[in-house]
Amino acid sequence: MKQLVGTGVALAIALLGAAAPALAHHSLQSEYDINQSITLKGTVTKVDWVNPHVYVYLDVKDDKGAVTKWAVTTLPPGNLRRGGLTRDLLGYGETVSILGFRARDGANLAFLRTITFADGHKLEIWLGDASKENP
Amino acid sequence: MRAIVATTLLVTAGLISLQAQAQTQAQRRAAPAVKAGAAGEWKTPWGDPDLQGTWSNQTLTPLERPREFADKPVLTEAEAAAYEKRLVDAGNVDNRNPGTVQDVNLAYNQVWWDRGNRIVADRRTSLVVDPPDGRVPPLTPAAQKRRDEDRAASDAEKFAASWLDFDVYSRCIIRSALPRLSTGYNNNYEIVQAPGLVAIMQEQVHETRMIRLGNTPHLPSDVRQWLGDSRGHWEGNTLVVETTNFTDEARGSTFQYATKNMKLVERFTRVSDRTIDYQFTVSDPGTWTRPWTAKLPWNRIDGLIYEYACHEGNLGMEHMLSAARAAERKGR
Repeated sequence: MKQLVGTGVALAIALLGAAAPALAHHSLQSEYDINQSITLKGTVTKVDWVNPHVYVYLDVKDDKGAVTKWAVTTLPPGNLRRGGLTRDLLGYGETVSILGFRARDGANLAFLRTITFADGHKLEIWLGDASKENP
Repeated sequence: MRAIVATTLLVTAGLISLQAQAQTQAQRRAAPAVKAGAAGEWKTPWGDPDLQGTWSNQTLTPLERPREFADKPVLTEAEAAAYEKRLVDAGNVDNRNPGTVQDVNLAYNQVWWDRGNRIVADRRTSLVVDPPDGRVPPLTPAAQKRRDEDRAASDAEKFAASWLDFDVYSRCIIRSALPRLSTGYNNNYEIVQAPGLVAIMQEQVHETRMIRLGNTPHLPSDVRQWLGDSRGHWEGNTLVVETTNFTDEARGSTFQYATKNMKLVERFTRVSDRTIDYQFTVSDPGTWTRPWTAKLPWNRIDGLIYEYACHEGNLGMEHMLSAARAAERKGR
């Protein structure tokens, strides 16, 4: 598994001497519940390559064939590209399995943690202990 | 606007997806070929050195040499590998569930940061190359006072009375003052050239520098701009850019507590198909006891840069100000 490697806020501040408030835009954990993992297997219907939050839209079928529409948000396009998730890899019609953190408000919205393609290739977006399916 | 951009990207992505259908996923993941070349090989059709393309100044190397490397300006390969691993591991600490206050302060969580996993290729322990100790020269007493005032103003943002109390980045004016160092993410640039002109677009917050080439004078000193006023010329294959006319109109609009009278000299040299050697010297007697110089690579990225949607859909400013008013109502 390839892991997207980022570095920490503390490290960034230490290295740059940057002012912390400039980094304080919003909180991931205020919008998503990192204790509520969800797995979405479906077909990509749209990808908004928008900076700083790429959105992946999925049609997810249940056992009876009913389709539910989901949106999954993730990192900026540049981060994804460096981690191996590029526009020509992720587009309309791709079948993927996404492990994410569900939105706290119960909407069909999640934050992307891992994505697995039809050929088994898997990318880890979330840092920390990846071995825990349910942190 | 956002809808138009998103639709355009969607259509483009769809076309690319169709073109790529003949390839397998594994083929699409293959690393791009590196084209070898000698310095001076890259020229525009009109004969200027060619710096065009998309580039990143992402690096793990700190601006200043850490105290632990006080007598070691360059690491061995083994030391560099160990240092990189240590920095990456430190950045990968899982900070989930740190508590509400800490979480809000951590904001994006560690997953957002995109500083890479390598130090600079020549394994220097600091981006600063002059002074030789790899440290930024001491601040003058006046600059120390500005630094302290800025820190206090930063702490006071939580009680901000106006958007004017926030810095240039929070206000989506510019990401930060020139010169640009590797920061949290979106460390990407696009250079476009025309005869007599070099444009550098920074991905975040999508501001563009227009560098006029030739012997034209700077703007009058009373004309001040967020990115200053840049004038460039070629010295061999190196683009030399002098920038003055900065402004101190808003917090964060000057570089590292400098005054608006700072002079910046940058040198861009294409040294390979995939690397620009970037070097800058800043001088400002009102801020540092001597000029200083740093050097960091701009490495080619294989793809586009993306407009940073700083304001679009961002309720941050409204929320920060409403939170300040709520705090006031509670008597804090």
